[in-house]
Amino acid sequence: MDQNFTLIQIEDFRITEQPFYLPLADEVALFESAYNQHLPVLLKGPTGCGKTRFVEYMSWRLHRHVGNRDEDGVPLVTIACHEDLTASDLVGRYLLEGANTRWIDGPLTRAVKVGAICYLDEIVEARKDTTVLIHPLADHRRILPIEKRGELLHAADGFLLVMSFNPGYQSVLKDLKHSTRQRFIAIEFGYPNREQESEIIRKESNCTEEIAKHLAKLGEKVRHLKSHGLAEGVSTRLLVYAGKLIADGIHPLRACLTAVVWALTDDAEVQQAIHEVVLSIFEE
Amino acid sequence: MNTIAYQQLAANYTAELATIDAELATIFNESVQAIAVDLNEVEFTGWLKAGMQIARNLPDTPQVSINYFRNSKQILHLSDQITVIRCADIALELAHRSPELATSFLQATPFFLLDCKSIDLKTWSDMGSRMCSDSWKSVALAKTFFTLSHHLLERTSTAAFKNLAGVITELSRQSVELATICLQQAAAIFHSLHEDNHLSFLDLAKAMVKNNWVNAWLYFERAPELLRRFQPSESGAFLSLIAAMVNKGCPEPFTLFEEISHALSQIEGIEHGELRHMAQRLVSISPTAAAEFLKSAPFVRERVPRKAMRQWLELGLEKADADIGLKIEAGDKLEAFFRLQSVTADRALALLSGRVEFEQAGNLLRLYGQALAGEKVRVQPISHLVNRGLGWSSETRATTEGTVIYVPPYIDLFGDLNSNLQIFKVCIAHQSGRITFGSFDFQYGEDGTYIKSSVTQRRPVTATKAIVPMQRFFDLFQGRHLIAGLFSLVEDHRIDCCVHSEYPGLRKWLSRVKTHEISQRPRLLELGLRQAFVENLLRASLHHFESIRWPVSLKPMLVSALGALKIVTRPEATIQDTAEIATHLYDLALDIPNIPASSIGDEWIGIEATNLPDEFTRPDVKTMLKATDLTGIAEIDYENPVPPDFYGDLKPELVQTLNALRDNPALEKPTLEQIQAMLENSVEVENVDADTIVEQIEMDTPGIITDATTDEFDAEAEVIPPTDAAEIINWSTYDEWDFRANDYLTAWCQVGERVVVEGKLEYYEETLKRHSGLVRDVRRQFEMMRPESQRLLKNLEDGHEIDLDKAIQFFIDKKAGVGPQARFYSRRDKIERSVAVAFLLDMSGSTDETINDPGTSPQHVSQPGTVSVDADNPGKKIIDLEKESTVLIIEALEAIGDTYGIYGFSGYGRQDVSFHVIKEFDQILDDTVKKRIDSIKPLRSTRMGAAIRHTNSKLLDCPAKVKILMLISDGRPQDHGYGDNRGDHEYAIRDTKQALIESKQEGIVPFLITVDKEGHDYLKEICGDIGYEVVADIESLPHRLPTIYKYLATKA
Ligand SMILES: Nc1ncnc2c1ncn2[C@@H]1O[C@H](COP(=O)(O)OP(=O)(O)O)[C@@H](O)[C@H]1O
Ligand SMILES: [Mg+2]
Repeated sequence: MDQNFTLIQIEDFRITEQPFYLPLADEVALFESAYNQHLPVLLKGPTGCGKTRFVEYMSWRLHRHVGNRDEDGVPLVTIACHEDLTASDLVGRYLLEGANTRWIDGPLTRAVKVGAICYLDEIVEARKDTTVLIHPLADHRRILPIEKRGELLHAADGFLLVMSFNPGYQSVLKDLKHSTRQRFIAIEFGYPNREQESEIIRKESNCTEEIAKHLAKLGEKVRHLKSHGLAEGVSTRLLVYAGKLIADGIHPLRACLTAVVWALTDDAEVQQAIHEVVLSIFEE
Repeated sequence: MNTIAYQQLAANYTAELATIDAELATIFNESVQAIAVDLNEVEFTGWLKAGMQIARNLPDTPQVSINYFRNSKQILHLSDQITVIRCADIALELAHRSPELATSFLQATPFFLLDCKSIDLKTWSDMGSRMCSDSWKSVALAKTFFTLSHHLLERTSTAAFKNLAGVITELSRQSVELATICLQQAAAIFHSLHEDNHLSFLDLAKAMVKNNWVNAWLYFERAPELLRRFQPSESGAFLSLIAAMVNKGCPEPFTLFEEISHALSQIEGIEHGELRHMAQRLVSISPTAAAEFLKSAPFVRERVPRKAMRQWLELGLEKADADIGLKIEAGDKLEAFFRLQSVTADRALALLSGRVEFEQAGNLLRLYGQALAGEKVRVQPISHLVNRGLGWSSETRATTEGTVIYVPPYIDLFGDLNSNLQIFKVCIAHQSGRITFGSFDFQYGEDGTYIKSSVTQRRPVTATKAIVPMQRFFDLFQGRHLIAGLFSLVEDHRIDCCVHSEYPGLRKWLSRVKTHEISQRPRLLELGLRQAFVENLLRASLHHFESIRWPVSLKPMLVSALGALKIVTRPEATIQDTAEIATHLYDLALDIPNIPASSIGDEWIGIEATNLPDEFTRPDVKTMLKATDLTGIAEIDYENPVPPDFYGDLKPELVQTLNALRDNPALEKPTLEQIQAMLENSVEVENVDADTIVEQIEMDTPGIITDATTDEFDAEAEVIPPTDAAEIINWSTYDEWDFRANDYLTAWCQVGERVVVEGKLEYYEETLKRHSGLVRDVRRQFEMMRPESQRLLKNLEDGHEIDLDKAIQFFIDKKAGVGPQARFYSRRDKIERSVAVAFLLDMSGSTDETINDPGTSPQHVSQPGTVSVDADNPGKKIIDLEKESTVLIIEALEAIGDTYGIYGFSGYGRQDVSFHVIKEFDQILDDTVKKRIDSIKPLRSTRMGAAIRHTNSKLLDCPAKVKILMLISDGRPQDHGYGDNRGDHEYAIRDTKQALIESKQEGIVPFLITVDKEGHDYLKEICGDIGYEVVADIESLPHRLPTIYKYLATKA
């Protein structure tokens, strides 16, 4: 049977091709240093500002430069957190096999074993009782208790815990426990400045330099409206989307309408204001 | 028969009459003599007998018979003997009512007969006698009637005369005094009014008497004057129109008449007719709407062209049509529309006028300005700045003082809304450009990108130490006025180029506005030569080289200047470059004598925008002028050309000073004396003193505002009604949102929380009984949503259900020899459903209005064809609906088991927003709570924002996961000082909206329920993307509530 997909084990996933990442400040050096010294990292920042991309980039970089051979470089295990994520989902569980049972490792266990970068995306989405599970992994002990098997797992050398967290929609419900927080060094991510962002948009969307500049300008202007229910302003991701639509031949006004104006808010007045900004930047 | 014979015949009677009254006898004898010649014997005898009958019948009041005899001759001359006899009969009849009446009848008859316009004598006397009741006053009225009749008849038609009598009679039933006044006035009215309009005048009079007689006299008194305000040919028709309005139920007829006449006095007479036709169309739908249409006509007309008035009407009618579809009372909607109290009306008006008012587009423009210039920057109408006395005085020109962008109150440059809105944007973009591209960042002695600083080559002309760099720069020039003008010109050109390249989308509008500005420029030949030179530079700055003209002999001067000016258009040019270019232009300009431009006999030529020098050059003007003979030509005063409106005013020196006062770290804080000195030297301001400036800047800083407001607290303190001493009030303080400042007023409102006194338990129980069917319905619906609202608790050792996945996992684990706990049960638990909902009831005075009758007047009558809201209970008030809904909601929530609190709010002024607790979250539903519901009643005003904020803080103290705030109101926030005046809804609406946004930000789900369809429009404004619902009648609550509630509780 023809197989037109590739199947890889989660712990074998490595980023072998260089992802495009434009460093905004000294985050690359910081991360490398943290990695070398086994310090877990918390990436803070609004949605779509490049946190995930950064982790991918770092994993590629470390994979290339830490000196491992290609096939056993630093893998990247990404876990998207959600409310129903249980300890078993992370650590592992027994499965029935015929009359017998077989243990199967969860993604976290696998990452610990192979020494991967384990990226817990949007950690606040996970329930607090799940979050505490990572505590012993995230301090000097670097161990993962596997309760069901009565085992403790020492993390392999290359293992690093990274998680992301968006302080924007902070509420009492969705906040990080201090005991969790204080186990990580935090790298703050903001939106890139206009020049940086326009370069990102151009590279990511293949639009012209002029369009990229205009979009970055739009981003900057729209972010001035934060206090009007636009909790975080427009993300780089959305601007990249707009760039892609434009590069594909959609009229810039139309592209911005769909990717920025409508995507951002439902408040008619704010929508109109953003639209007026779009109309000021792009010619009809 | 000869006179002698009559005398003998009469002599017998004289004696008899003399016994009654001596005068009577005398008059009788005179009369006999006079009349004898005209009558034959039979006639004479008849006449005599009729008189004697009166005299004998009324021996106590000889005046009646005296008048009979005295007037007989005259009456006879005007009519015939039969009529004379009839007079006697009538007089006798009238005398039964009152002899005086009979007397005045007899006195008036000769005059009446002079011109009776075919009104029968009897008919006439009946009119008078109908006015008479038992009182002497009414007799006096009727007497007046007889006396005035001939005056009236002289001036009006029979029909009008009859109608008048009818109106007066009708009015006399209510008040004889008023009827008398009106009657006395009537002649004057008939005199001043064209006869064609008499009937219409009386139509309205009749309607008034029927509707509200109290003011009818005012109508009679003032009508002549008020009617002069109408186009003469239209006044009658207007009177009939107003009469129709009144007959259909418009209240306060006189006020209505007065207001309409006032409105029309502000509109050209030739337009009155068409306006009346339009109003007539409305009358049948809603008379009040027709009235409002006319009353608001001047306001509307001021904004829209004459032709568009018809469209204005159509738009209103269209709206009404749409609302009939929505089953909303069309009349009320129309009324609100033409009263200009609806958002639709505002939009329609804006559409027709094309003029964009800042007030209407304000919020959009604020957001726009903020987006362009940064979060901290605000946009306000220029009047705010002018009022502050900081030195800006133009009411129409955009400007900025560094933190706020000021724009004109409206823009009507073009005929359509969008274009004008775009011009607003252009203004904002230019001003925001000054902020973002550094118009106020000048540093003394720093190089520009393209030009080195030259300040060291100059010496200051004053000895005073400058406080800001801009001042130090200007201090280098003798001609301060000239350098200031050139500096602004160059800087505005630079900013304009920046805006042009930053906002390509605005280019089209920039060029439109520039074309307009060019058309407004003065004629070059009328200026001084130096002025013409600068004016040409300004035209170049508007990118309009075509309009440049300059004497050919002086060409190199302008070419050099234009070359210099062009440097500023390069992309990296800064404010430092501006300063250098301005300096260069200053030197060039000073070389040019400001003689009248027309005195240069040269050819005036255009100059090409190409081939301008890239560097500063200084052509020698002396040699160029050598050819021209200038002897005897005097220089004139120099004035800077007025910059175009959209550039607005630039005051860099002042702004830098303000920035220094604002604790700008880059600038040293100046002293009062220094500021005073700067102000005296500066050409940017007039009549401003340093104190005002310092004071105003301090006001901007928070903290000071709160101080200032404490005074106001005291001032208003008297207004607070004395509160019940036994009442315990808990005060809390909240900020309020001032949308004009785009900022919070700190600690602005005081909310006093108190517990509602208990009323009777019966109310609750009776409501339940009355709506028993409904209650059952609501409970059932809520119970139905219960299971799904419960939360599934998983991983339990014990529970109601087995989670299959988990159980299998458990057995596998067990088989594998791991000894995990058997946690595969799950349970649905009510406790997990952690919802807290706060009900906030509007207890303001406006909830006292009945639902069917949203008009303010008690006379308001429901129009046929409108939808009655609660047919079986016509007098139901908004507050009743709120209370009943509360009872229903309580029943429903008890069924579902969610935590809930019930609160009411009202108050007066910002320091006494009263918050009434009916049930706290942790309180159980007991009789106390039920009794309190009975005491919910309309109180005073509606400061919604503060009440919402207090509820928010209460909800935040609640441990529940899902928090809901349901505000039940009539949808019209309004309070003393909640906005500039009571009609200023914008402020209140914005604050309420902001409070609701705060709710959202705090994780609370706000929802508005309004029980008044009138509130619909405002609600839309308040809510934005916050949910709301209009519940027109309580019957629909059970259907809507569960749906709303379910939606909210799950959405959260
Ligand atoms: N610094 C950056 N370099 C390259 N691309 C970036 C950068 N920042 C943002 N992006 C773009 O934005 C998109 C969204 O970033 P992502 O990492 O998914 O955001 P986050 O994880 O913070 O929500 C990326 O796919 C990429 O196109
Ligand atoms: Mg991400």
